[in-house]
Amino acid sequence: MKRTVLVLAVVLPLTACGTANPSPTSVASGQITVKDCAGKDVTFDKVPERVVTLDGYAAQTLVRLGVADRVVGTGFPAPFGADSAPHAERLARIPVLAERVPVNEVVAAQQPDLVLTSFESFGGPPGSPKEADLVTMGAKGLTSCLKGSSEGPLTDLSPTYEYVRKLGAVFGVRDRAEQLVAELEGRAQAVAAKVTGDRPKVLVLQDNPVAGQPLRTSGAGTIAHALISMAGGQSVFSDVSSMHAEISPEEVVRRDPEVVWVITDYTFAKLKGQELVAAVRTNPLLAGTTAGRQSKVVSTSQYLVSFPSPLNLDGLEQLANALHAG
Amino acid sequence: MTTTVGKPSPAPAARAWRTGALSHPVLLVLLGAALVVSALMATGVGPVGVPAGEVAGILVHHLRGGGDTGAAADLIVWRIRFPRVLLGAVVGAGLALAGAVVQGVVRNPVADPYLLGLSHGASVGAVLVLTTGASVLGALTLPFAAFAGATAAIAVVLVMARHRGRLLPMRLILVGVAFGHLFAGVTSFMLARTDSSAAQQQIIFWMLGGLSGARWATLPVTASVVVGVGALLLVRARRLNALVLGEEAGAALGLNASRLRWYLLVLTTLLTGTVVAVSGGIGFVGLIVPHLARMLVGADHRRMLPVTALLGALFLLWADVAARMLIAPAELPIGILTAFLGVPFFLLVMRARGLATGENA
Repeated sequence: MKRTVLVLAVVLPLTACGTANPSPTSVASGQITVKDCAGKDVTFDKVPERVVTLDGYAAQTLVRLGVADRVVGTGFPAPFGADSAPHAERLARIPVLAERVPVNEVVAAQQPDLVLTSFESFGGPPGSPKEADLVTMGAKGLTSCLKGSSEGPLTDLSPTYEYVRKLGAVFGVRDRAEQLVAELEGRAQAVAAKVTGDRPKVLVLQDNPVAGQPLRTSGAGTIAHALISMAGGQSVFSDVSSMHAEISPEEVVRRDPEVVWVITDYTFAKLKGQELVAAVRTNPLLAGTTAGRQSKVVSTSQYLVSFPSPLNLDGLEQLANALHAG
Repeated sequence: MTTTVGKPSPAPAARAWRTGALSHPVLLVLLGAALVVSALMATGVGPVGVPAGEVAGILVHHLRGGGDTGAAADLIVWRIRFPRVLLGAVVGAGLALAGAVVQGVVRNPVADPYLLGLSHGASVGAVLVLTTGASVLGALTLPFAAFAGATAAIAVVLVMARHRGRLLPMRLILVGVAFGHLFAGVTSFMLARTDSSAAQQQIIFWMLGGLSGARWATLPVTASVVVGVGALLLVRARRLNALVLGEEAGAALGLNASRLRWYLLVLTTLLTGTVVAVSGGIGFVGLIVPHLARMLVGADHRRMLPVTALLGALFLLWADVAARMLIAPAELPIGILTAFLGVPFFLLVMRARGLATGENA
């Protein structure tokens, strides 16, 4: 309890400052208004009853808020595989609409009153519902909000916490949302407490580097970048912002990372899971770096660290343990 | 590069076709009927199964003026699928018509509506919106920016191609292709520079084209432009025939070739800009469908323009069914399907009819 209070004391001033994505405000009794990422009001006359989550990340948040029974279907269930008991069992009972992000018509068939995605916008994957499509089907939509590249590097999990709070407000479970955020922030604090002064230089890789081609890394605007900072490391590519930034292999050698953090399970990666990690470990392109010489290669699944989700903390703990082990 | 598109005098294969069982009016009626039947069938097909009887019931209910029932099937069939099927037909007809006219204006059989930098110009406009997240005009921002981009592109091309007040086909092609490459470079640069993976996906999808933007609210504008410009083109069909014969023959017939080119290109820009704005850069339709029409009814634009429009509508409508269904419940960009379906079909017809063998080119 004492720790929770401490955490709140640390965090509350921060949330008060975060005016870019203001916390939800109630307008009239029974009506809830929250802001979308562009700052526009999204008003709910009643608590949503039929929710479609376009990706598993949003569903993972709803399960923890105790409103999983409102989810009538989900797309992209792959992140469920990274979840643990008791949530994994509950998630497994959600009807899967499509293995990828479902197309407009499949979402409309569920007659949702709310469509959620933890991706940064609607309408990315081909044929998936855009905001205008949500209007057609009479549904509201809420995405998670990552920072724009102009707002500087992401060094905390505010997008994750904000999305939890926003959904808590929409579903009338603010207390539960605050509780969840406090629990997540508590875990982040626990990690921060163990971080020592030494900040190793970390290179994120999303695939095994191939000679003559640019490497793919996570830029400064991503959850992965925030986790590196929070785990007591420093990203060697804080100056690029894209989610899948392409960087020159020469630049990697010049910046000489001390740790390579492989984020596995991206669909575009040629190798999966530990096979990818093993290939990176023996990759001659990295042999000239400190990380390569010392074979300091750690890994985490993208399902923990690529989009705002409560599992981001699992990713943080994994990374922190790996960075500061031995 | 001096090959003409096909002289208005009937080509042997086309003559053979017309001496066959089908007259031109019968062919138009048949294609029209095929289009109606196809539209109904395509509305019945989608990743969510709706029984044919229910689809028919929903269409009848709405066509008689009934309102939304609130049922999921009603939403899917009437609000999502049917406008999309109609948009496919409209866009297909528009692109095919534009292709036919551009091929005539520049007297080149490999010309298409995008030859003069139109689609690349539209891409620049669209990508600017997608990467900056601008939304000045709400949902209409993207189509408007694409249309503005297309118009700006062709304006630049026309001004640069002008030579002593005249528009010459070869200069048009060269300037158009050159600017097309420049605009493509600008688009690729912006694509490479954008941070948002969602924006990247949208840009790639936009460049390959798709009909998922179909809505009742925007369909009437697109349809009116396609039908209206189609009618204006048909009125000029005889002069377009003369234009294809060449500058001197045209002049002998009392034709101001440059002025006619200006006029036709402005119409084509309006047509292409409008359809590209709502569907992205759907390739191949404008290149291939006019040739199919010429194979069927000869090169006389009075005959081939209506056939071109109907064939284009049919072709894109079915290509979109394939785009929706092949990897359902995911979706493919339609540009992939127009190539996959169009090339084999075109080669098949070309071989069967013995076309482009030299004696009728």
